[in-house]
Amino acid sequence: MQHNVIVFSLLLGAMSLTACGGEAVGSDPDQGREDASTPVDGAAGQGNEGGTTPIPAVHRSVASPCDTVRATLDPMAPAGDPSVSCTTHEECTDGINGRCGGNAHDGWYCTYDECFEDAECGEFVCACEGGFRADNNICLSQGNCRVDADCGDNGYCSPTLGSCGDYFGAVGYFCHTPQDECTDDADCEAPSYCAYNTIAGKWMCSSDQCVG
Amino acid sequence: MRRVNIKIAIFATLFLVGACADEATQTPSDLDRAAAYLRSAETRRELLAKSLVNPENGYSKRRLENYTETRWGALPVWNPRVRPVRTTDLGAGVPSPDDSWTTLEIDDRLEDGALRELGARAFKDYPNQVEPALISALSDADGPARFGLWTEGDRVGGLVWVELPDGVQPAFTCSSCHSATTDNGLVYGAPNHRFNYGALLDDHRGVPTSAGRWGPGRVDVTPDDIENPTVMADLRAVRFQHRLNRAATIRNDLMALVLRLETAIITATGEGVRPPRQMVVGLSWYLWSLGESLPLPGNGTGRDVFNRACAACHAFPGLGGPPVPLETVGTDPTVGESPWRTTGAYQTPSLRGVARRGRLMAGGDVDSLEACLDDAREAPGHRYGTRLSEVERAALLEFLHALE
Repeated sequence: MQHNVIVFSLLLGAMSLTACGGEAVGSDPDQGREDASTPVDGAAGQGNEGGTTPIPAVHRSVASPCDTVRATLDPMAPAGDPSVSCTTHEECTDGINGRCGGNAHDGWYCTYDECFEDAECGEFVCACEGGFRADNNICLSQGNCRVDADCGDNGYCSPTLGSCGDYFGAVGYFCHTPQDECTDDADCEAPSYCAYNTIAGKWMCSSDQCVG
Repeated sequence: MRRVNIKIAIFATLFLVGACADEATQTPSDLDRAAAYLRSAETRRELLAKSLVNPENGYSKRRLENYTETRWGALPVWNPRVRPVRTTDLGAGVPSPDDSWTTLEIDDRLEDGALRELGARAFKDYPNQVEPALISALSDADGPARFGLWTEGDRVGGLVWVELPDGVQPAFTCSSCHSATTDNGLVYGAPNHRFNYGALLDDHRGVPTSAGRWGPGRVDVTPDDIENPTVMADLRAVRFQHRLNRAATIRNDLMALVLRLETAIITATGEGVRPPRQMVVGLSWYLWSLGESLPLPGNGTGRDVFNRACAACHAFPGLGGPPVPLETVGTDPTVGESPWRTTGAYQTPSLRGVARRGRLMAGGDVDSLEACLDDAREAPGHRYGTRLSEVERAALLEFLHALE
């Protein structure tokens, strides 16, 4: 199955826009960065650790707290479906900002805000509205940076899909470096996409397969 | 000289057991072919192309597009420092590498014994897929059992800690999914149909997804946007298979298995690295050898019933056979219809070792041999052997249960 990469790339971008700081796209004039729509090539990039690093379409310039308000859209959970474990938000009382939501593919269930700022997530990022097919805030579980400044002067810190494809959307934030083989999904031939490869230690065009 | 002697020994063995497609053993020519695979990019490419049944499915296209010297062939060889995950690690957090962590020692001799030994070590210790979610199974003493990972001595689930550029992560080895515990210890190559990978993924991220519905012994490995988990394979029987993958995607022989494993590890590591080729040859050699341990019951009533009810497809001695069109076998076609792997047919699995499999059929719809032969079962298709007399059925089950 391994969910559609394109759909997740869009979700990834949307999530990153709100991930503890909607300043994720490199168009923040205060940061003096080029617009996210700037074509990605060597000439457009800023230097990083002595090399040339193109500006990724999605990166995290600063960490801002998530808002504490969560939407209360109608869960539209079908009655009688065995994959439905809740039908109303009021049933979701085991955490903060509980909401019932879901879809026919994964079923309906309660989600809660796990965090509101990075400090609640150890060394990793609190992803505002970064839940899997849900709009709850979650602590990501991987990464080597939280904001661009963690990646050195003119560095960029971007979200990536995880190992074994995109079962759960973005799993962490990683620095771009001059060793990267891609910067954005557009650099990769579909269905491949640009992701941080924890084994190679750089961003590369990746497939979305488990072994097997 | 030693290599020559090994060749003679293998050839003699081959001669004694009788060469046939259903019970192939490694041959002197296999050593030569392995040498050619290691030496020649052209040979590797030819072997790959020859093995792919349907060049138009996603699995084949991905490989035909990328298995070149300038793409996957140019990837760095990956042989990281690892150490086994031990029972003492449970609940103890992620360890830091020290001098006890080692890379897999690669013995480059092309000899039967050396290859088997290298393959056995690779099977147990080489990280073929880094999986951060495994942290959830290692968080407490009950974690492995909670997700069906085996423990044997001080080893946990055949897992290893891997040293990576950004830290240490847990990873699967082949033995994680392809070894099973029994009263007599661990059986390497047998499927771990207790392992619930989907539940592990869900637990790690704290959300119930479609992966959680795979259940034990199944995993969806195809990037095709279709919900089509398939059963973990019994690798002990691989030498008896006419085709590899449930959807009969690969024409099987020893070198096809080499290509299968090399490319599987490349894709499972995000196409960022490639495994040592000598190791892949050894791994294939080792898996091929596992078939030697699978018993074949002698004559008796059960074997007679098997001959009448089953052997037309599951032919002796390998108890496998050519692939069967999806509509002919009639089981759930979802796995076989995956655009990623489809050939229009299912492999006819070898039944050597079938008694140690917890899930049967490509999608795992049947959970026991008894259910397989039950005409009243709900799972569709494969009605062969379901209309036997009680006596015949009991005899057939006795025969099948002896196939351990």
